[in-house]
This record gives sequence, structure tokens and C-alpha cells, in this order.
Amino acid sequence: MSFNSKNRNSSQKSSLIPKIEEDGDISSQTEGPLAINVLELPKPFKNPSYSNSKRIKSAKQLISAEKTRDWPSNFPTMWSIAQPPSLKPAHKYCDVTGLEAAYKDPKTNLRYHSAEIYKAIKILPPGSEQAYLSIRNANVILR
Amino acid sequence: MKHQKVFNAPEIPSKTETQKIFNDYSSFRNGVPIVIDFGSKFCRAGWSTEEQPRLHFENIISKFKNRKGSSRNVVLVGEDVYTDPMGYSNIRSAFDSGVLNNFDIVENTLDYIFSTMGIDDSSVNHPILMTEPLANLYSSRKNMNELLFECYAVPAALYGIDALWAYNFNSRSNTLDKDGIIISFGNYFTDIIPILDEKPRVEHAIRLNIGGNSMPEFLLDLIKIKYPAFPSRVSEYQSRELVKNHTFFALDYKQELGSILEKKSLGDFDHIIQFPFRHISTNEKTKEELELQEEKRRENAKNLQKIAARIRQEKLERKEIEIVELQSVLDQINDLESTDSNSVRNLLRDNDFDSKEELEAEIKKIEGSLKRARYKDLGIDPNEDKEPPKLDLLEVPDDQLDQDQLKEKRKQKLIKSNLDARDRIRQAKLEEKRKQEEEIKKDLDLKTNNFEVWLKQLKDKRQSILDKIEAKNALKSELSNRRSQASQIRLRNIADLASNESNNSGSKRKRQEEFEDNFGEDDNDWNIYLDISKENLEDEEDDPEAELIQINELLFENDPEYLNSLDRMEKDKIENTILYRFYSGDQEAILEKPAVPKNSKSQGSISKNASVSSNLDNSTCSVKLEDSDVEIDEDTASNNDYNNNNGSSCPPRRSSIFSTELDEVNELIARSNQIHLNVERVRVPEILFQPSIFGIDQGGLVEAIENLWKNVPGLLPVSAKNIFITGQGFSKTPGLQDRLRKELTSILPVGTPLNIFMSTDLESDAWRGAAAWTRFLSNGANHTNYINLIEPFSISRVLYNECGSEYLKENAFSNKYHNFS
Repeated sequence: MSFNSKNRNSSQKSSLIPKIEEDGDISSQTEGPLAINVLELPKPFKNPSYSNSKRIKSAKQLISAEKTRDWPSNFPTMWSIAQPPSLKPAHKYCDVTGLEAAYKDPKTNLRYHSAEIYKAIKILPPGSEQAYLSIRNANVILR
Repeated sequence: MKHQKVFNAPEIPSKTETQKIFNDYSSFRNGVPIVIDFGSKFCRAGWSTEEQPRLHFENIISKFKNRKGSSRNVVLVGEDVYTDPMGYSNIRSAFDSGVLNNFDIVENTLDYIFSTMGIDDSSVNHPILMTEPLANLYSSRKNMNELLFECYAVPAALYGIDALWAYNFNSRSNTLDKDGIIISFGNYFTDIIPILDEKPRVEHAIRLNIGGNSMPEFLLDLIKIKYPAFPSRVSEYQSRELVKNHTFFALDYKQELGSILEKKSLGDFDHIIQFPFRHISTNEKTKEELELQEEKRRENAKNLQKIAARIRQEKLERKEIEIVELQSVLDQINDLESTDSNSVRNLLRDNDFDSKEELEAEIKKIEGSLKRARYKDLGIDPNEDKEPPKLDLLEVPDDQLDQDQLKEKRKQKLIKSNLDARDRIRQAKLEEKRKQEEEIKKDLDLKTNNFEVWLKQLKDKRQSILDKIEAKNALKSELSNRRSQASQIRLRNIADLASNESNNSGSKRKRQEEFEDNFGEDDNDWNIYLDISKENLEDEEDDPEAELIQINELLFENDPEYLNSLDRMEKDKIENTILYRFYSGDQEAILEKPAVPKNSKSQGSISKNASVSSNLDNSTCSVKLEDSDVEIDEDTASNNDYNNNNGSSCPPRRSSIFSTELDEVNELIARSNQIHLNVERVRVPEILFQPSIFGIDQGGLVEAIENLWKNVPGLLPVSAKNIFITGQGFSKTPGLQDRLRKELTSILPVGTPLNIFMSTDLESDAWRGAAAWTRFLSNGANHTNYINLIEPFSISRVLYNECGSEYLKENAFSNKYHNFS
């Protein structure tokens, strides 16, 4: 399913946020005037007996659960409206520089722009070509 | 140096004002609908009777336990999360890959919205108009319904697709009366919805799995692989800012790619992002301070010398006393010897000697050392006036000598051979020295008489050394590859040696004895061991690098222009490579081993005096960079002279763009903290048109529209006149409309009218479109019963109770509903 081909965001999120050393000045503002702590706001409008105890399911789980239902053929669902794979041949670009690539290294499967880039590819440490390939989801995934 | 575009790395801005909590709820008590545009990126909320949303915030929250003081749980919503470091390390979104799945977070967000809007009733007694994504999952809607009706007890809920409401805001007709195509750039998806016969054809809509979020994700991947050892961590926030400020759509992608790394356009394309770094600075010592230091050092040395001399003196004195004592003992012995042998023995025993000879030997030994010490003090070589050793017995045949003399002769023989060897070495040394002097003289002759030839020779020699180094490096890299010829030769050599050895042992020995082993007859035979050892490549007898430095310095003294031109050529060579331009842009290359000799003295002083001062101020970094433009002048040259005033004649530097070694070091550090965006600037947005470059197996935007036109009869040509762009995903990237127009023109029949509109309010068009629609329903009247007004289009509490929480009441702007029961 093409939908799941890019599910990197959620997994990477936590690691990409900058971890900055605790700074006394800034963190004291939590209780200061700049930020509102939602837990301390008055919420008279809420039903006091309501409590949400549902387990949180991932997008993948939710979608595969809904897919099993008996949908009418022309009903627009999340998966039925997805754009199908391109029928046109994809343009090829150099995996290192992003320039147009006329060549492909059969050893690493990397596409490259010119002989100069090929030289650089040849001295890549073994295995590091996978990082380049993973950008366009062409890396080898061992299971 | 060429003009460069240097930008500072983006930083999370400090928030200056708090979201105020509204206290005008009394004027909205009569059930004024609340419109919430619950987008996957931003959330807007407000009263439908107003033109603008009251709240507009990034749709994220942050939950954490405050470690300071109270240790309470804290939940921050929207931009508030950036006020606390704990906040932005715990950022969470209610969306997972564009699917609304975390309703704890939704609940927190809605709490925040209703509270800040000042609602103080026991329930939220307002109809809720809420946006939902195209083809929303039933489970998402079910949870939202349950939350709204059961937690907040709303009277009615109405859902619409954000893109359609945005379209409504821009058409201002409050009906979808014009055929067209809506392109909605979301955070995770790009939706394309056709409008035909006054109806949105949701069933024909197309979704691309590419959204505004894909660009920073892609850029982050690219930066990570372009600069794998980058010292600072590029955050998601920074990546987003970089995308916002530095990317654009190429009108013709391939043509743009071809020109980006060209020399003449690189300066314009290449953007340098300077990340903060620590500056190295020397504590410049004044002349007086340096002199004082020198003085102190000399003083110390003198003191040490004095102490050493004193110790030596004391030792001598002790020895002198000792020798006087021993001498007196010897005299006594001599006196008594003939008369009283008993007391002689006692005397010897008292002084720990066994015999008179031993005593005499001891005295001689001490005398010798005393003499040596005195000579040393006077600065005379003790060997000089030493009479030559007796060698009289050497010429006498053995048979004329007795036992003792034979022993003596053997001793003399040894001494003689020793002396001869020493002589030979001295001779060889002299010879060597003479040769060297001769060579130097010849060299000088040549230099004075025939300077050109001399210079040429020097240059040739330099080249030959360079060749040697290169050959060595080539061999090293060859050997690292097991299949290369060099490796194979090496292995064969090893095998040959091993087989010779094994042949010499065991049963075959007899037969092999006839086979003469002449290994070692020729000295070159041993080189085979040098050949097969890999390590020996490192430390051969002579160091070509050191020689190279010498020659460079010599050349620089005599022909500085030559080395400068060599360096320039080398730099040009580096700067002309695609990879250098890709990684380092338009900057002048800094050579790792420039031909122009480095100022070794000042380098030493850096490592000695350098103190790393933590200077994380961005502004000084960029100022520094601009400063390096300045050409070096006489002032700095004299400064250099001052740096090496120790008598060594080092020519002043004029070649480098940096006035001092330190500047170059700092520039290198600055550069190691730079990101160059060039190809990336067009490569990142290009994923919209070619998702395959980001590994997404879908056709691009234009192909999707093409499919739509093909598959929906009647959509062409009318819809081409009305292509509407909303959503913030790609809309703010420059060049989008031009590129889209160009691409669509190429697939449309010739002469088809084509119009592309961009929403007039990308930030809150969906919210304002929904609010405008409710106002249209109430026909401008201010005190209508809104609940009754909205009810026909919405899920009322009755319907919710009757049809279940998955129920959706369809309206003109909503998704489709299929009833399974």
C-alpha cells in the first residue's frame, strides 16, 4: 500500500527535536505569564463523568482495520483516492549530488552524474551506499 | 573572495506574548456556532459570527512533568511548547501520518480552545463546525463525535472538508457553483478535488502522499548524508525554516540542475547556513611580557646550572678527602711492610681491602676520575694529552713471548682494532662532510652563476619528491584492495618465501641440499621483506615530506611567485570539481598542504597560546567571515616578522587570503559548521512533481491532474479555467504557480484557457469560509436561533443517539457517508 511508504515522520520525531540544556531562566517561565498550562485552566463545560480510556492505535492499524469493511465500489476512502504509481518512466538523478544521472554503478546501485562522482562512490566505505539509497527508498532492507 | 550569501542557522524564536483568555463570552451565549479548523499543521478556532478566528496556533501539544519545585504535570498547547526546553523535547501531534488518532491530545486541545474562548457554562452549548481531512477515517470521526457529544455535550456537530470551505471563502458565493479543480496542499497529503456540476466530486478526488511536511523531512535526510559528520544537530524546526527561506520551484528542473553548479551562477545559488561554533583566539602577549618570560627562563637555567656545579664540587671534595686518607694508609703500609706484616693486614682489613694491590688500584681509580673532572672543569679533552696506548708487543712474534705477554698482546690487539675502527669512522665522516660542503658549494656556484638552471633543478627535484609521495600513496591504496595487482604480487612473494622454507625442512631436505640457497648473497634480496610488509611503507629511511618542506622553503625564498602560482592552480583544480562546489560552494579552497610553506613558528605559538573561548555569538561569526575579505597588507607582514624574531629568516606571507594562521584556523572551524544549500534548493520542492526522488511510488502533481482530466468526463476544458490552490504545504514556495502553469500548458490541448488562482488568505481561508457560510445561512441576522439554523446540515444530538457515533450528516462541503448497517 502506497500510503505507508512514508511513515518516517512519527518514528523520527522524538530524535529530531533539539535537546537543549535545562536553562533556569527559560524553564521558570512555565509557570510564568508566557505559557498556559491546560491542566490548570478552569473547564466547567466538561462532562465530569467522561473519561477517554481508549487505546491509541497507529494510523497503519486504523487503516488496515477499516479496509476490512465492506465498502461500496466507488466510495472515496483514504486508500482508494491515492494517486497510483507513475506510468511514465521516472527521471534519474545522481544519488550524491542530485544532478541528472546518466549512469549507474552496478556494484552499489548508486546513480551518478559523472566520472568524478563515480570516483567518490568507489571510495565510499562499504555499506554506506545504503544511506544514499534509503533517501529514495531503494535501500536493501534485511528482515 | 567572491560575494557570498551567508545566513545564520535558524533558531526557535522566543515567544513574547501570551494567548489571552477572552472574557466576552456573555455576548456569545445564545449558541453562536464555534468553527474549528483542526488541521494537521495549524488549528484555528473562533466564533462563526466573526470575520477572523480568535485562536490560531500550531496544532501540537507537549506533556511533561515539571521537575522544578511543584513537580506538577504540564500540558502546553500550540506555540507555548517553545517556551520551555522540556516543552519542545516532548512535542506531540494528534496526527499520525495525517490520520487523526490520538484523542487524548485532541481533548487537551479542545479544552484549551474552549477555555481560552471563555466558556463558563456547564456544557459547550454551541454547534461545532469542524474541518476534517478528505476521506477521513470512520474511526477518527467516531472518536471525534464521541468526544464532542459526550465530553462537551455539544448540541450539534457539522463536518466539512477544509479545502472546500477554503474554496468557498475565495469564491464568496457560498455555493460551489463554478466548475474547477481544487489543489489543497496539506501537511501530509496533497489533495486534488474536482468540482463538476456545482458539486465537489469527492469520489474522483486524488491524493498524493506528499505534503508540506515532506520537504523538511527530505531536506533533513539530504543534509544528514551530505554532511555526515556535521558537528551540530540540525533540528526539525531548523529544517522547516530552511525550507521556508531557501527553496524554490525550478521552472525547468533539468535546465536549472545543469546550471546550479556552473562557476558563473554558483555564487547566486549557493546559500551558506552558518551554525554557531566556538571561536579560537590567542591571548596576544605583549613584547614586554615575552621578554619577561624569556628572562625568567634564563634565570631558571642559571640556577639549575649553579646547583649542578655545586653538587659536582661537593663530590670532588669528598673524593679528594678520601684519596688523602687512602694515601696516608698506603704510606703507613709502605712504612710497616717490611717490619710488621700483621699490622699491615689489620690496616687493610680496617679499610675493607684484601691486598695492597687492591688499595693501589682504588687510589688510581679515584685519581683518574678526579683528573677527568678537573679537566672537564677547565674544558680540556682528557683524551688529548693521554699518551697513546702501548702497542709494542704487536710486532713481536708469539713464540718470543711468555704467558703474561701473550695476554697483554691480545689486549693490545683489541685496542688497536678499536682505534683503527674509530679512525676509519672519523675518516668517513670527514669525507662525508667534505662531500656535502662540496655539494653546497657546487649548488651555490650554480645558483650564483646560472640561477635559472639551479631553479629548474630545484623545481624538478620538488616534482620528483611529489611523484614519490604520490606513488607511495597509490601503492598503499592499491594494497588495501585485495584484488589489485600490487596485492597479488605481494601475496605471491609471501607464498614463494613460505614454500622455500617448507622445502628446506622434512624428508626432502637431502634432495634440496644440492640446490644451492644463495638468498642473501645480494643485499637486494632482503628487500623482499620490505616489499611484503605493509607497515614499512610508513617509515622508510628518509621522509619525503620533510624534504619537500625544505625544498618549498628554499624555493619560496628564491621564487615565491612560482609556489603561489602552484597553489593557485591547485586551488583552481579543487574549486573546479563538481563535488567541491556541491559541498563547499563558491568559497576559496583552503589547501591542506599548500606549496607555500606554512609559518611554522606562528603555528607553534597558536598551539601554545591558544585558548578556546566559548563564543557562541552568531553575529561575530558572520562578521569574521566578512573580515577575511581584507587583503593582507604590510602591517600584518611586519607582525609576522615579529612572530619569528628568533633569528630564523622566514619570508613574509603574502599568498594567503588570511592574515594569520589563526584566521585560517578559525575560518576552517567556521566552514566545518556550515551547510551549503545549492542543488537542494530546487531538489527539495521538486518532490511535488517527481515524488520518485523521495522514494514515493506515485505519479506527481501534474500526472494526477492529467489523470483527473482523463477519467472525469466533462471536466475539461472548463476546469482548466479555474484551478484553485489552497493549503500552506507548497503554496508559499516561490515559483509554484509558474511551474504549474508551464507543466499544465504542456499537457492541455493548444489554446485551452488556463487560470490558476492562489487563495487570498492561505492561513485561515478554510476557517473563514466555514464562518462565512454560517453567516450566509443566518442571512446576516444577529440573534437567530443558531442551533435550529444549523441543525438540518449537522449531526444533532438526536441523530447521534439514533445513528451511532460513526454517523456523518452529509452537506455541501462534507465527505461522503456510507451506512453499513
